[in-house]
Amino acid sequence: MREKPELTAEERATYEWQMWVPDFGEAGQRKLKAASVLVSRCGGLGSVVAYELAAAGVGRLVLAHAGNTKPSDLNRQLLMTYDSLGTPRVESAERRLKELNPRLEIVAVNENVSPENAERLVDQVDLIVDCAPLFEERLAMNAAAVAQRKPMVDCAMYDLEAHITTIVPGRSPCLACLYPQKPPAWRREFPVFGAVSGMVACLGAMEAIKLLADFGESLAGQLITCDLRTMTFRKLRIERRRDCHVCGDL
Amino acid sequence: MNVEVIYTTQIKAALERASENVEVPDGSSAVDLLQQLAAQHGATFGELVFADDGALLPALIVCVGDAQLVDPAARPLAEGDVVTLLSPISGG
Ligand SMILES: [Zn+2]
Repeated sequence: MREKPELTAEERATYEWQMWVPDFGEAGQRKLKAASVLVSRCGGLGSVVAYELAAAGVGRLVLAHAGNTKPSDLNRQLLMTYDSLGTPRVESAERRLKELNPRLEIVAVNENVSPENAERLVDQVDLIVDCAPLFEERLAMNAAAVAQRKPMVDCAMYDLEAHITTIVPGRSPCLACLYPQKPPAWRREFPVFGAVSGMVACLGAMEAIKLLADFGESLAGQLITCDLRTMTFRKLRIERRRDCHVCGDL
Repeated sequence: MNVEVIYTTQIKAALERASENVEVPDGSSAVDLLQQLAAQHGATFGELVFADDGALLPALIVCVGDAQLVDPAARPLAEGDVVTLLSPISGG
């Protein structure tokens, strides 16, 4: 992570209330200002993750999401607007984030994560929040994050349910420990309310903030499951695979 | 002995139920339980749990209580165990 920069008067005013959080304070705010986060896809999950990180004062966001805004994005992809239909999603995302936080540095990449670009994208950041709808993308991101020993918060949802965990390479199970092969039954299109993706996105954003500012307890080695049909939240202990083809040697 | 099985995500949707209590022979492992459930619930359940070669799908997370079993065949279940099946999800 870069040198921790001083806060400007405007930043002190903007972040005053969150700097009252015990264990965070001005030192934590300066860590966020120095930090850089990759958000893989700015869909229902990634839009809200990016918005919360922009609001919290993370200094730099790398946003990776290909394609143009479609009508079916607008029930949950909160960085996309009606006016942006038919135009690149990352442009709408950048515009909306800058409206909230003009100090934010944004690298908008009109690509989804793949084995070809994952290393280059991960190389630019301190932490990754993985919000991609396909396991191919998630597993490519996981491999790059583990190779570069960078933490990754992994958020996923389906219907009214969600999973979230934090991967700290070498210390916790990685995504390939949990899913050694691409799950055959998963399809890109899935039932979703924006309130569900937004809920798990807020959990993921807070997890990222804690890791970047070094306070609280991370979810490393634990998986939270939520079911909003019954408002059931559970925290499950998950295990590394000694023979994991991605992190087994760490 | 009796165990409770909690279904989540795609398995819950396929079975249209969130849980059930199941009577299994003493000494059964979680894999034995899943084979019994596959025989009972048919292909819809089987495809979400087992690969074509009959092995457990590696991406299925099986928990007993609040802890994942890395090798669900390795140890016998106990009376009253709560077995949770987490089918992988990736919605963003
Ligand atoms: Zn691993």
